[in-house]
Amino acid sequence: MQIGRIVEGEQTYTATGPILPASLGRSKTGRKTLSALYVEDDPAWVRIVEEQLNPNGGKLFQLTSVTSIKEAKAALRKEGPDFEFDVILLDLNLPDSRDSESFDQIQLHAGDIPIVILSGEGDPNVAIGLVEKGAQDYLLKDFAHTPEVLARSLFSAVERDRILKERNELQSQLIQAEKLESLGRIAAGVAHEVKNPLAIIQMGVAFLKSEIESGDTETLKKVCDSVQAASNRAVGIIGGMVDFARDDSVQLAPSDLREVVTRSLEFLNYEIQSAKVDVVSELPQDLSRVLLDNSKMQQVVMNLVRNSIQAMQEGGGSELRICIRSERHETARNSAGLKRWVEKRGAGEVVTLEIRDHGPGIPEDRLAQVFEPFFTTKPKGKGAGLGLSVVFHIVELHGALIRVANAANPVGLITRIHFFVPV
Amino acid sequence: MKASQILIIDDDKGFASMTKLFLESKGEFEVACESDSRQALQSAREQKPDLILLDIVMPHLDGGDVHAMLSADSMLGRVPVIFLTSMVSQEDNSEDPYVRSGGNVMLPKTTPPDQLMTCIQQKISGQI
Repeated sequence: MQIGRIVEGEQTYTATGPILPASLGRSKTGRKTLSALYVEDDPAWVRIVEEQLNPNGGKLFQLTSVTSIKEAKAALRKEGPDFEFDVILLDLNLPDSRDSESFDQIQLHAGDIPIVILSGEGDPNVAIGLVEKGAQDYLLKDFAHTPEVLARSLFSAVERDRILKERNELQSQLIQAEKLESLGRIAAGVAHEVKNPLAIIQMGVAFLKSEIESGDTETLKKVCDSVQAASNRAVGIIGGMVDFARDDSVQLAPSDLREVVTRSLEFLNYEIQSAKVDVVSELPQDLSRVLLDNSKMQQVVMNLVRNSIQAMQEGGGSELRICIRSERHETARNSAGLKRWVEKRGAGEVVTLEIRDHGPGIPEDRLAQVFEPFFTTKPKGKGAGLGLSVVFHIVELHGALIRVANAANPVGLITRIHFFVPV
Repeated sequence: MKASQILIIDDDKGFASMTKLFLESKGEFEVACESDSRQALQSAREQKPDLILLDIVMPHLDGGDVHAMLSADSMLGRVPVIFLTSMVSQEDNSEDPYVRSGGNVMLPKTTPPDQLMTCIQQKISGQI
């Protein structure tokens, strides 16, 4: 009996089972069939699932089944059209692995293939935990599954995964677009900063030319050193700008947050001084390294500092305070906002970056919106309101947490970013 | 001939000390440097310079603020000032080698050193 018809582009195919929306189910290879890897050691279940997915001999799914984690890994390593899986269906209790360990193993080797769990055990906590870890769905083995349930879950997993990847792609494009805008704005400042060392070099060389015969060696050597230092300084500034401009995917490595702050402030030096802002920074000596993408985090710090500079132009004080401090989880846990975030990560250390300005702050009823795209309190032409949404996304990619609060007495805005120190 | 007294007010100590070294090597100048713009007026009062080289973008007080304070001072109001800054660039085809603003001369920091010296001499002798 024919109960569903799917029309996709010019090709039409008929399914005799699941009724699925036409937008679902575009496979990687452009096939109209989804290729699924089924990790299951019970041959009876392989037959049931095959029947549920492809009822009456239909060909909606191309099912490849393996019976252990070891075999699954081997299949995922293989290349060729038969091994380009769109989705993985996973039983948790296998001969070589059990429970969430099975999921962890497969996730490690699945790359970007979405995973749906089909398990005989229904502990809701386990299910929630695995979905939080990234499983697309958690289904219970049920003989009475109508064909739709399993097929729909797999199709939805593929579709959700595709939308998520598309969203991430768009967000990284947004990050880069915002960065290029930022680069445009720092260009004048960078040019200014580079001219100083260049001027030193010019002056030094002129001195050397006139004094090379008569001058005393000690002074000549000193001037050579200054010229060298100045050219290093110019090279450093330009190199920093090139690093910053690079369009890379996020690459986290243990890094020193202080360097990110220092470099951000160097880049903004011209803007800071032009706006007559006094920056006070407290950067402790012995700081644990946190996982950072330096260029992306620099984008965050520059965004926040620039926002603060602009806010302070509207009145208030002229002091901008940047500090980094390290807290044990125990201390951080006392802060209401951090409690849940910290508890999820267990014992360890939190490194917090705090930026406190003396601008007018943000009206309380609008605080919750600050990270939304196109939110802005600035007058027209002073920013599209993308900065903070990009900040939020970058912070999220770092697995860090950002909080914004108004300060009273003196009035101002406090932004804190909490980084989790890897153990 | 007595050496002219020059005061450089610039927060970039590297640039100030190199300029001092260069100008003093010519034997016509004695140069003092002040890197903190808030101390500029005090230093100028102490040194009584014949000319001041003034940076523009500085923390605390910028070159404009310092210039206003100098102009308002009964002793220092007439001391010629050359703004020496990375903010302006020289127009290559301009006949006037100096960028002028409100009767003041502004020179890019990257001006060739000999030209800077000529400009200082002309400014002290009132030729520009």
